[in-house]
Amino acid sequence: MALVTILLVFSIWAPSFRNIDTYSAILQHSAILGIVACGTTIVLVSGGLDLSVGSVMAISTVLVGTVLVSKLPIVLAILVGASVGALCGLVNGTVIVTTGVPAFIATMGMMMIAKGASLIEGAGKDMSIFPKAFTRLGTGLTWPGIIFASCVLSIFFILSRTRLGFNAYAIGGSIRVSRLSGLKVKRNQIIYYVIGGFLAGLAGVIYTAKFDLATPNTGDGWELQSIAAVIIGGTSLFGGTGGIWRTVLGVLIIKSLETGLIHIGLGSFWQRITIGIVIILAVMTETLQKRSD
Amino acid sequence: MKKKCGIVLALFVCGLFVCSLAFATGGQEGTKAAGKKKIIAYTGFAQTLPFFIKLGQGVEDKCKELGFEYLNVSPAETKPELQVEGLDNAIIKGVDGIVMSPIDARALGNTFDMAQKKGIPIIVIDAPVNHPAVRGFFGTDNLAAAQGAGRYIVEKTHAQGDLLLLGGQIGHPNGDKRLKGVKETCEAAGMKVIVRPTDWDTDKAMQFATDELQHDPNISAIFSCWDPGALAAKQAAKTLGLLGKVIIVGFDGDQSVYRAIKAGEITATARQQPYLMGQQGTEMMAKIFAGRTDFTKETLVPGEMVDITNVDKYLE
Repeated sequence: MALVTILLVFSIWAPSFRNIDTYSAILQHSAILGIVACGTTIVLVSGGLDLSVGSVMAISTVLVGTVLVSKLPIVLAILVGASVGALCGLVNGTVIVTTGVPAFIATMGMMMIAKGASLIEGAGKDMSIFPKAFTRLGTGLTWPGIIFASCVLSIFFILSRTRLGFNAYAIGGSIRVSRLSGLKVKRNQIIYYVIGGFLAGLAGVIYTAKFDLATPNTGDGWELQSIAAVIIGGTSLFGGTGGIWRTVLGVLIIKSLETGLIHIGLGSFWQRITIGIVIILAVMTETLQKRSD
Repeated sequence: MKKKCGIVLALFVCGLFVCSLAFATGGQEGTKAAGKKKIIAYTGFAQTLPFFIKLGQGVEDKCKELGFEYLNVSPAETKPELQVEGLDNAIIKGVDGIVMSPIDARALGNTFDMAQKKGIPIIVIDAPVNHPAVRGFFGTDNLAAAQGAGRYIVEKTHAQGDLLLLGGQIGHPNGDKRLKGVKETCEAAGMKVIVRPTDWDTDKAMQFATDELQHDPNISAIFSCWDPGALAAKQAAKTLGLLGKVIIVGFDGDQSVYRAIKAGEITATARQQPYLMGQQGTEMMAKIFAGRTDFTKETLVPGEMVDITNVDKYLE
């Protein structure tokens, strides 16, 4: 509804927005953020929080770059990128469930660790001009689109068709009740963080391919962007409710706004203000809704 | 309830309309004559850096003078992916020309391919890019200017002590040239050079300067590859009580650094001329629009050392 309104308004306002290329660009810009946000969705639904996804992207990017620059196979690069993400997720999840360190703190620690590691590995190195077969993964709409869509469908399948997904809602709703009813809460939680990390790592791979560039500066601030996308979609920050399609909407809303504002001639600083307002509005409507229920 | 959400958002988007009416200066008159008025898009590093504010102003003022519409799609932060997205959007919107300074040329391949397909000419300022869509380049002769800065440092320190070199982002052609020019000149004179790349981050520059100054009492000079880094080094020296004992040299020619030179806190800076380059780039674009080819593809603008002896000439 909101997305349609936004698209409609921009289409009426800016003739150049009424263009198939524009919509294709919005989708292209959405793919990487969308992949990260898929992971964030499942983590948030289960009542968790992952602040490390941006830095995980950075370490993934840098490792992918290193592998490719050493002329090793592309498949290996992709595997390394995605698995380092999953590994970070595994560490996050394990620390959180075994030591009881709050998710905010544990993943913030991981954010710094992964960033530091990516700087050690990647700072001052010139990693670019990768093989065409690799950059194709991030170029245009086809490959990024396919990868984004498969992530969305996989998360959709997990959340709506599997025990793991039902448990995410249950654990996010109430950890105590879930534990009392015999769910393997800890194991499940670790898996959600692994999925979140894996997808962040994958996003790092696609990022490297899209920009044909591996630098440790990648991903700064992406954790907040992806949380923003999930929340604008209507998934609760406190777990228990939400869904993947909402996240897709959230990502599209952010990217349509960013694109649309350029088409009506407003600069990048306005994009920030607008998205800030949209986040507050989205959560406000959500809260109002709850109150009236 | 869903209706309510919809209404709130619809209201918000209406609000956006009003905003854009109020702020999109020049946009309104542009819409009617959209068919005729050429649009030039500009993008550089984040619009918080004095160098790029000046560069954008040069483009904007020239656009006004020549009757073009100016569209600023600069990113809010200096990140290559944000610049690429802004530029992609501008190309799809259908601008007629692009005058820009790349944050990282390596990330722009696909975007430039798209511009080439649509026949949009690009003029690059500050850092060169090799791509067929790029029709012209304006930039400071960074290597020569950096060698000049290196000679200045050698002269002022009598080649005594160590030089701390605060670099930009490794792989950025200008940052690399400045680094190389100063490093080689000072090393040839027998100075020890400590290189610290900062990724154009003033926080890092300040941190490195503080740490290195504390660690190595031999440091007699600091060179920063860009002026905000020199300001950061100045703060570090100030905190440690080393102001006046350490030579600090920057690169760019920002007004804030001129003021610091005047105050005797920074020694010198290698001056560039972003406003002029922005204007010249736009003029070249006008020639391309007119189908003319009577211009040189690459123009190197010389840099100039500014210190206490000539700073008054440039202080605004």
